[in-house]
Amino acid sequence: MTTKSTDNIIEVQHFKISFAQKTVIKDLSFSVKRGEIFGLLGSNGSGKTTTIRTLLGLYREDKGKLLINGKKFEPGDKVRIGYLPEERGLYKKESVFDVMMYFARLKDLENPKEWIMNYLKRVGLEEFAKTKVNKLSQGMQQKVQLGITVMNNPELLILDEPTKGFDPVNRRLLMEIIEEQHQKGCTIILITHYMDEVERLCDDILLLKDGVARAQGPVKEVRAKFDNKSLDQIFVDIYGEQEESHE
Amino acid sequence: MNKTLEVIRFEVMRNLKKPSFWIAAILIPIGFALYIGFAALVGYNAGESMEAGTNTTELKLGVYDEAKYLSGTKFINADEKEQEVAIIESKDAGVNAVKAKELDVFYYISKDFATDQKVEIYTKPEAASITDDYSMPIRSLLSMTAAANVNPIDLAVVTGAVNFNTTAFSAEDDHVIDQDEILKAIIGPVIALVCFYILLVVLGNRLTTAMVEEKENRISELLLTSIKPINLIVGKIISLMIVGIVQLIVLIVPVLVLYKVGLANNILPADLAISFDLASIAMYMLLLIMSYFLFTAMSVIVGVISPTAKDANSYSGVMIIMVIMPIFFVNAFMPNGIGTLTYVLSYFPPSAPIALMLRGLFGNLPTWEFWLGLADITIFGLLASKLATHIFCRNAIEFTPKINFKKLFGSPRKQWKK
Repeated sequence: MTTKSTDNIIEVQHFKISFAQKTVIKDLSFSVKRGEIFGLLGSNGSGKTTTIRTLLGLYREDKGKLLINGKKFEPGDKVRIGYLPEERGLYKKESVFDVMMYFARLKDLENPKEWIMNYLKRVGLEEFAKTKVNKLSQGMQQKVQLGITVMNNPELLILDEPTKGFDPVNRRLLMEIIEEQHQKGCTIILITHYMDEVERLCDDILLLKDGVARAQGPVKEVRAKFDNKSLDQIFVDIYGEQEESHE
Repeated sequence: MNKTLEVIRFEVMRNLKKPSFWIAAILIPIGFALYIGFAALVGYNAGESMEAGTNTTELKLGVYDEAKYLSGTKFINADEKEQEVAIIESKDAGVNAVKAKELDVFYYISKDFATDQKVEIYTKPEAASITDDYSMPIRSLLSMTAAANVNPIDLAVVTGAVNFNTTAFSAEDDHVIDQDEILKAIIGPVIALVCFYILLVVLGNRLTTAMVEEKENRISELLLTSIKPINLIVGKIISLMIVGIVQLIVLIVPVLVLYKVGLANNILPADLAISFDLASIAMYMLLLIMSYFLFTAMSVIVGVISPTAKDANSYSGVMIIMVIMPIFFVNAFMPNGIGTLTYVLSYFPPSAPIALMLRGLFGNLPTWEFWLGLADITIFGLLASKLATHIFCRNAIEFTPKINFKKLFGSPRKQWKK
């Protein structure tokens, strides 16, 4: 399964996956360059999360290759991955500190206590370190989840709708953290419905529809192919086709 | 291995930090002890009062013995004092005296007593109660008369007062088996049975819900990029075993201390000073630990199959019934009840732990069968752990409330086979 080392941290080739009778991804190929921010876009149910889950070994592909650093990924590999899933939660009856400490140990973090306290201070949760998770607001819980995701200084950060449910202040804080990780050399895959975030942050994008890539490449090139329309408009145009054809 | 240890540390600590664990760990055994003590006390008192009947000390009693059977009219009442029953001239006079409240109780022995063995009792209490029993005085009078008329040997035979002494020889080497030896042999199974039952009651629910938590709280995906499923499942099983062992220590240590202190200070009767057969106790402790391992692994399967904690509780009910099934067929484990059902329950893995403990208790579990049963339980426990990991791989990030068995038992992901 090992391929020769390239500048791409992720290689996906002719990926196909079905659930029961439904083919979610028909034939998908793309690559993600080391150090870039990659936007994985598409409407709900277009297969973005399925692609990520398969990449991380949580689903098994029917066909194709999905490689991270030239290898099929499995939990416990040396690759430092930070994954903030769409379906995310925490141990509700444990304290913020205990939950973060558990994940820090699982991720082999050095000086976990120091890192956790610094992070909690930064996101304004220092005084909630001993508070049980179920006593925190949704936004506070999301900050804890983000902390768990980035604590191992990941070389690949996968964020599935990270700003969902955040107020503008916390959204800005989250963006700062993402940009900070990017500046450290981290590759980021961003799944989001906010096209302004994509235009501002992403180097390359892939727009999924009906299990295939409908638009793919650097943001500028994709926009150029669609008469320099905004990404928002391109998204509407592509998904509008489907609705029109259904009508 | 390191990550498994982290799971164990996290799971053990968070269980031991929960007040609910300590409340259950301490209160349930205390509740059991109180229940057994209360039931024994009530049973003892009820037995005593049934034997004594209604106290007749303050009552005026009369008898008309038409059969001329009684040899005396004095008896020892509940206050251990001699009390006399007045002789009445006729049945009608006695009945009328009761109606007129001149007598509290009137006994009539008809002239056909030799054939019908019947005594009529008449009374007129202020408030009749089903517990009122005025037969004790006439019983005493009849017994004293009978004892005076019968040969003492015949009397002992008829009343079951004959003593029987049994000498049993060991099937293995013909040595004489004494009571102490029988007691020694049953201590191991009794301790194992009581401890296993308490673990089922205290921790049964906690075991199944422990595995649902990750799924219900949507933690699985966060976890599974940091740890292999096998490490997570093994960590969970070992931590739940440790929690169970802590529970047993909380239960056994105070009992042992109280037993030793009670004997040393003569609070407990000296005949409770039993010499323990440590080898037998060690064998049954091993059976207890492997039984608990099997139960934990089965609970983890239930947990990983279930979409929610509520579903897990329903499924664990079915599993617990399978485990305690031998208790419903206890006759099948007694020496004269051994048959096909005994062996089915002894080797059907979920019911094997209690079946083997019951057979040990009733003294019909040969040593070779003990080890065979233990191997059966251990192997099935390991297979159950493996199956739990397999199912967890298939089901960890399925958040729908429906269970798809075809999908659960399908082939595992290649990368998680290791």
